[in-house]
Amino acid sequence: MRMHSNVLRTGFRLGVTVAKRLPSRPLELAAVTMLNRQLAEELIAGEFDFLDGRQLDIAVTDLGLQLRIGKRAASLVALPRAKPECRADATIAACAADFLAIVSGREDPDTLFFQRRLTISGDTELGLTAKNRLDAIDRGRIPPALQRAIRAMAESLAPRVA
Amino acid sequence: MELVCPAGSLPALEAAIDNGADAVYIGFRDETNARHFGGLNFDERRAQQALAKIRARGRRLFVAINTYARPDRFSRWQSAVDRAVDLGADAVILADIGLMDYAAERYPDLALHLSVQASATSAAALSFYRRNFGIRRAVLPRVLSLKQVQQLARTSPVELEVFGFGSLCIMAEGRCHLSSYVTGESPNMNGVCSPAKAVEWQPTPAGLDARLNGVLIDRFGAGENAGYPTLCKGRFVADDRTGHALEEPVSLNSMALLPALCAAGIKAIKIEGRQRSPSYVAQVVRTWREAIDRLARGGEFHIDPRWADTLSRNSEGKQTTLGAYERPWQ
Ligand code: SF4
Repeated sequence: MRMHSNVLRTGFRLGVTVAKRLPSRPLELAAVTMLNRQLAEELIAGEFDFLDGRQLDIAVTDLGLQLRIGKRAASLVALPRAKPECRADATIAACAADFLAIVSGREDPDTLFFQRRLTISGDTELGLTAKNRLDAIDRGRIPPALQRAIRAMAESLAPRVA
Repeated sequence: MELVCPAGSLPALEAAIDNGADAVYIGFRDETNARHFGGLNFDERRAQQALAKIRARGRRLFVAINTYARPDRFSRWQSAVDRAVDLGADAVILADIGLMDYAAERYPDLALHLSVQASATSAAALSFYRRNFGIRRAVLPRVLSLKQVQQLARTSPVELEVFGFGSLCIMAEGRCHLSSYVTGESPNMNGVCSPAKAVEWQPTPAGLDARLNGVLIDRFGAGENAGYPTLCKGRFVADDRTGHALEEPVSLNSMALLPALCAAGIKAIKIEGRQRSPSYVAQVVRTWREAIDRLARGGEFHIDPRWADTLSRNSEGKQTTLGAYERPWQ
């Protein structure tokens, strides 16, 4: 198990290094496609209508990745950034390991917020609503293989407690 | 003792059930409950799904309708009670005396729990609610010391529920309007203390500034733990000193008092946090389940260091306190 987790850690670090160099547009599109698939039911039910006409940035600090999300009709879209200085309505920022910990259900976002590992800037209501909506999605609908991968990765990256 | 757990979403409710909640409390998606935050809570469809899950596992579902009805919109609060009855909830948690009257008259069989927001702290107050509205349970305000809780438990005409764990909001339960001085909205009237639309987190060279409707209420230095941006937990200059003038950003944790509370006849322990994630609910509920089960098994009760660690990790400000329970001067 120890070795397995070390391999994962190394793999992740490598991934971080590689991801930093990749062109980000294809990654953004892939991410949004995945989100749309996961959130189809909620999108149709109107649970993400709060994003209509708004822009939300998800910033993965250690990867230098910034995903700008908007919504058109019943789908989320990855918005291109016209100018780097043009700001989204709200930004949620954390490092990749912490985002993984949230997605895998290992960490509570408010806890990370109290510990200053997760920040919400800009329109707090938009950021908070997004956080609450994402908390409310049914993780059981994530394909089991992906769930396992996320959990394994999150576990191997979690700080070790002696 | 019944373990009563929070859920702001369906996955949180599942987490509560899976980790040993006896009962789960939820709110509808409007200002009739004190966690009226964007993206949180249950519409009709979600509430039905919630009830189905609760029934499948033989637990109980409570609906919190615990804000004070606005005079011009009383029907909205009435409709929340109607919806809870239609849903088939096991109890409603109410604070507003007018609403309680409506619920008691209209649905004599509905179990009423007196919300912490009603701030009833004496046997006389509880008897009044019992006589007039037939309440079955009361949630005690977090301003009482352990001794006061014990005294009340001896004479209370109804079951008592106390807070076990969670963020503190103790200044004057059901009576605090601090938030509305700055934002125009308060938990008792609008279901939200420090509405998110009034909150701004601003990184500055000096640290992270928390502003409420433009008013600076706190500044967190690098590496300093943050808390919820509520006015009572802000830092102010008072008598030339800057500090927490009203309340510290810590979480209540009464686990150490579990044996005493149980011996006093307290019927239920409540966990705060409908605004938190399924992950928080899972961790905190599991911990309390283990503690209550250990107590029930008898023998000496001691707190497992793992429990203390999990609870403090999930606390606001990363600290826990016994709060008013241990205030000797009360
Ligand atoms: S200001 Fe503090 S005490 Fe008052 S309602 Fe808000 S959290 Fe509670």
